[in-house]
Amino acid sequence: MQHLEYMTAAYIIIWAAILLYFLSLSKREKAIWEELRELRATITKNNTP
Amino acid sequence: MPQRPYIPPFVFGILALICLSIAPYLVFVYAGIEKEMGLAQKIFYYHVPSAFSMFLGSFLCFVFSIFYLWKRDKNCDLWAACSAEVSLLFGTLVLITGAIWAKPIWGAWWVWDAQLTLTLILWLILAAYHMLRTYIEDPVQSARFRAVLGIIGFLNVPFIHYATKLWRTHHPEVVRGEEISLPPDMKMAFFFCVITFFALFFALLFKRVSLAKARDELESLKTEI
Repeated sequence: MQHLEYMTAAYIIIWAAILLYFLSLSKREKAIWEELRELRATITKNNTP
Repeated sequence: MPQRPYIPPFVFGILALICLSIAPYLVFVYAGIEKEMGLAQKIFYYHVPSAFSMFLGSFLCFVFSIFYLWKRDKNCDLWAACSAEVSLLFGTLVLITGAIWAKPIWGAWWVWDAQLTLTLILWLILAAYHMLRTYIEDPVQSARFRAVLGIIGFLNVPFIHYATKLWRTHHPEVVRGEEISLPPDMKMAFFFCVITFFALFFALLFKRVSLAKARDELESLKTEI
């Protein structure tokens, strides 16, 4: 098993980076949609006579 | 009321997940172990597709940047910026995995080889692109500067690809003209990993675009109020 540690390190870094980026996008997207929903609700409430 | 654009990231996400569940079998079981490099050679299956994904991102950034300068369409700037960001992610992976491969094979984490240096330059251009987006307050001026940088960045890609032909480099030449110099089992694993990374690239790109559009909508709603 020549250079097993290098291969393992490379694969861990690749998957960790992609997973972290994906999770960061999901978290930011969720927060923005939440804010948008609240804002739309406020606008609708203010426009209702 | 605009709906969340779920479909493209979902489709590419599912495709990427399917490919990702098959790719390890092809890389670790199906493809043989290279005699001289040992297991370090297996880094190549994710390192090269990461480089291709970086090139794809730079190409999309280049195309959308040209369209932005031509049409002044804000949407083109948004797509160019998202492509550059995902390209920067894959570029970071290329540099890190390349260094991890180089240490056992060349005995050094980094050498100032033409292909490596040009890849680093492209990465720096993409990083500068990202910084311009963050630090220039005027959005029109920022978009114009970034469009120029996005075009310059992609002009570097053919030099990276043909560096092994143009200069004497240490870097192995995997693609010779239209031929791939690999045994059939490794070739199969390699092509599958390229498809996997492209699916992953588009899944992340569409997700990033969806986030950027939602943020734009939020900003315009706040301005209205």
